[in-house]
Amino acid sequence: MDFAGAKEVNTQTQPALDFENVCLSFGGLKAIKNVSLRVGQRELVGLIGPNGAGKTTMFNLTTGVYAPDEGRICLKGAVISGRAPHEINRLGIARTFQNIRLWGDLSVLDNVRTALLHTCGTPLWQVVLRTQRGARDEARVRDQARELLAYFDLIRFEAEKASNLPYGEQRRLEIARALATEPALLLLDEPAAGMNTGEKVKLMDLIQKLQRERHLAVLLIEHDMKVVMGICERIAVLDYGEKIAEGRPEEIQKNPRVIEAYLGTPSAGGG
Amino acid sequence: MEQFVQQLINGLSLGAIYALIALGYTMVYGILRLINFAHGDVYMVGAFVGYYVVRWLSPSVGSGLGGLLVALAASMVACGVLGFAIERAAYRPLRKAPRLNSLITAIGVSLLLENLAQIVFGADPKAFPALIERSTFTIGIATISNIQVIVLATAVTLTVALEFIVHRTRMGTAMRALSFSHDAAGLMGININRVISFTFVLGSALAAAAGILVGLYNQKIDPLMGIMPGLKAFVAAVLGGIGNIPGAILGGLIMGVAETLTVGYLSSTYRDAITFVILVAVLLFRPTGLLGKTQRTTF
Amino acid sequence: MTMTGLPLKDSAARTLAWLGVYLVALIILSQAVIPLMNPYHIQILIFIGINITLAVSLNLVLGFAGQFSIGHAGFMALGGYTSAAMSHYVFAPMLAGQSAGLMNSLSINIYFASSLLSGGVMAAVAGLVVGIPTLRLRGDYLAIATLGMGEIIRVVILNTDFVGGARGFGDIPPWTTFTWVFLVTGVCVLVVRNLVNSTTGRAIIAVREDEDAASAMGINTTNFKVLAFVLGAFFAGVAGGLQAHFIQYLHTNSFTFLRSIEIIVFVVLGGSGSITGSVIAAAVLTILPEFLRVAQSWRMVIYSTLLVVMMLTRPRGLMGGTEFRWSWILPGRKK
Repeated sequence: MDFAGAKEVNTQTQPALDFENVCLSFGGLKAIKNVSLRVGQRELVGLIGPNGAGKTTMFNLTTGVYAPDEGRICLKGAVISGRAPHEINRLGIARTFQNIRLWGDLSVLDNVRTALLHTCGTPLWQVVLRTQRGARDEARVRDQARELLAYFDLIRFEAEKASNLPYGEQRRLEIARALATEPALLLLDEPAAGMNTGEKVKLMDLIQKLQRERHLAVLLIEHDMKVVMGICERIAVLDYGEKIAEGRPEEIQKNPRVIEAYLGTPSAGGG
Repeated sequence: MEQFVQQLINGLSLGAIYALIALGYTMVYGILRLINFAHGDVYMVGAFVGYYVVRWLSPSVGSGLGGLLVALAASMVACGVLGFAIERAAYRPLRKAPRLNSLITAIGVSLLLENLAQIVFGADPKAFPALIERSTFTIGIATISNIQVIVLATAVTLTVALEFIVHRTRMGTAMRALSFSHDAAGLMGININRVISFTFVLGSALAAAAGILVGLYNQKIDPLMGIMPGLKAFVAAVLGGIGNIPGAILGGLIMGVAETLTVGYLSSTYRDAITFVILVAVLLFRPTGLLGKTQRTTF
Repeated sequence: MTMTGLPLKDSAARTLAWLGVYLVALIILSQAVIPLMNPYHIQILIFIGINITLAVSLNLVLGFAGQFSIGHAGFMALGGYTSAAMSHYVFAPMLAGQSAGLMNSLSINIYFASSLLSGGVMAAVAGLVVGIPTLRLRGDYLAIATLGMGEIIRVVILNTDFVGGARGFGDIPPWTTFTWVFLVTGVCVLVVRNLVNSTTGRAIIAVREDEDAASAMGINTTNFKVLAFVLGAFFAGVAGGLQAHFIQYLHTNSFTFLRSIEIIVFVVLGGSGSITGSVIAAAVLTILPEFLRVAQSWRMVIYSTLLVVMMLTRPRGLMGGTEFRWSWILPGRKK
């Protein structure tokens, strides 16, 4: 390689997420068939499709739970496929889970504090012995966690066990926790599931606010079409592990293949 | 060479015992994902039941092959009941609880059995009645005792019976279904509780048989005799692939041979150590065991 | 200031306050109380301290990190034998070569500290060597692996002649005193408590609660499991050293799987995940056998029944996973 003449890769123009021709099989079942997807650095992209299409699997591929059989995944130009999940998080990808995976026994504050571990620089022995420096670092982490909780309107719950929180609050906490890891790309897996209309509207506002203020790229899995169409700039549609459509919300709504995937073929037998 | 073949025969006899015990571990783990720590102590109870039954019987019945069969039958039934009771009382209530709780309970039951046995039976070893007069045969370069023949024959018979049950009866099919998924099996109309109880009864009966055979072979039994063989049989089950029935048999035989060869060629102080070396090697290099399958985690 | 008027929790000031109180208590106890007690009672106190150290260190691994480690006695053995060997072969001869006098008691303390430390470090190294490969395993497999490791350690020691082998290791200098035990126990509880309440400690608990979510949040789960494991092993090793220099004799028979289970009983009955629980359970279960002077077998029958009943009725143990709070006994401030 010629280092002297190599051009500096401008990470500013790289997509936040680049899914390149990814394939994944579980035994004989092809779960993801040659899917390519890009998410720009400040884009809010939606990922929709019938149940079992492979949406959460794509999240799992992105966060390193699975490694693709073929193809590769890149974050801002750097290859992340094949790396360990905690490394990928440190490189800039955070997620929430379809079935809320908070640390139930820990308090609301501690859930966020733990995610802020990466900001702790003091050697452990100083923390354990609570020297001035150690104690101050711990206090700083606590304050930072409180700030985040305040932003998400969860501060009054800070001492509660996370598992005691009402459902909607738990979902917000999961997002707060993910944000604590300071990602460049946020993966949200059905964040509106189980919410009522009012909560959903607040969630939509929250996601857009987050994206603006924190310069995030967001990839959103959702079943509620109002939410998806309402906030996503671009939508990709998955069916049986393949990407069958991609485009702006208006285009997707009119796309016959998408309609077919959700509702089935207008059958010969009428209906 | 002669010595090697001899060791091999001894090893296989020992291995047959381990295999019988290992079958119980592997079946219970396959269905419940529980390491039944108390299983080795059920084997011990089996030996003691046989001891008391034979002593209680009149000399005409309580000797020879007939006596052995009576002892086997009585012991297998008694331990089947014991296994059933343990599952019902200690494990069933914890089926939905975190795994650690069941593990600790199993350890508790094991300790309870051992210490109760020490109090009830007395801590001193007892001489198991010599039901059958020892004699040896020479086949080619090796000698084999009639006891060893009986051990191997009994083990083979029971194993064949087990295979029949597991593959040719409805209960066996239900057991295999349960080892894949409780939910799916339940949805198919399988009475989960009954199948689990049956598995425990089966495994305990096999362990009881092993206990009788060991009593016959070693001619002495004591309340703590189940600890090491239980552990070794468990390692055997892991070695073969825990949850896998042929694996338990293979693992048992390998463990028996390995132990005998170690004592014969290295030193008897390493008799027990070889077990743990094998265990650690398996867990580090091939945790699914020789015949086990690799599993992918799903989210 | 918190509601109860104490310095802010987890501040440097609070830790210093605690240290101060502890040292004052130590001075009062060691100078005024211990000299008046009969040796049998002092012995019980020493065993209580050792058991508390064992229970709290195992709780870190079992309760807080959620790792099914059932080979703790192996680390205790390693630490005990290593420190005993250091004292017997290195320090005692050095001491004998010195002339008697004031310097002697200072030397003894320095030598003892070095012995204990070497025992702890040896156990910690073993924890690292054992932990890194086995902590990849989950649940039952980890339990069996740690059980196996504990037994391997025991068998290796049994076959090592220069520490006595099958005859046991005797002639260990009697350097363990109440003061030493009090100090070590205090350090252990302080370190574990401070670690658990810190952000790193929360991460260790997070790994227990949901390991996959933890890695998704950037936590290298293996590192944290190993950290808990190694620290637990260290304190078990030091406890072993304390025991060795008290009984003045070591035999691998004291470090079998049964001993590991005894420690597990302390943790489980007290409440895994509760340091307070471990302290209480270890203390109570050390004293109780002294009152119930029954046969060893009956004691074990009671233990094991207790264990099973506990798991069936109140699996979270005595304290149910919570810790002692000052607000339980001190009145709060009115706003």
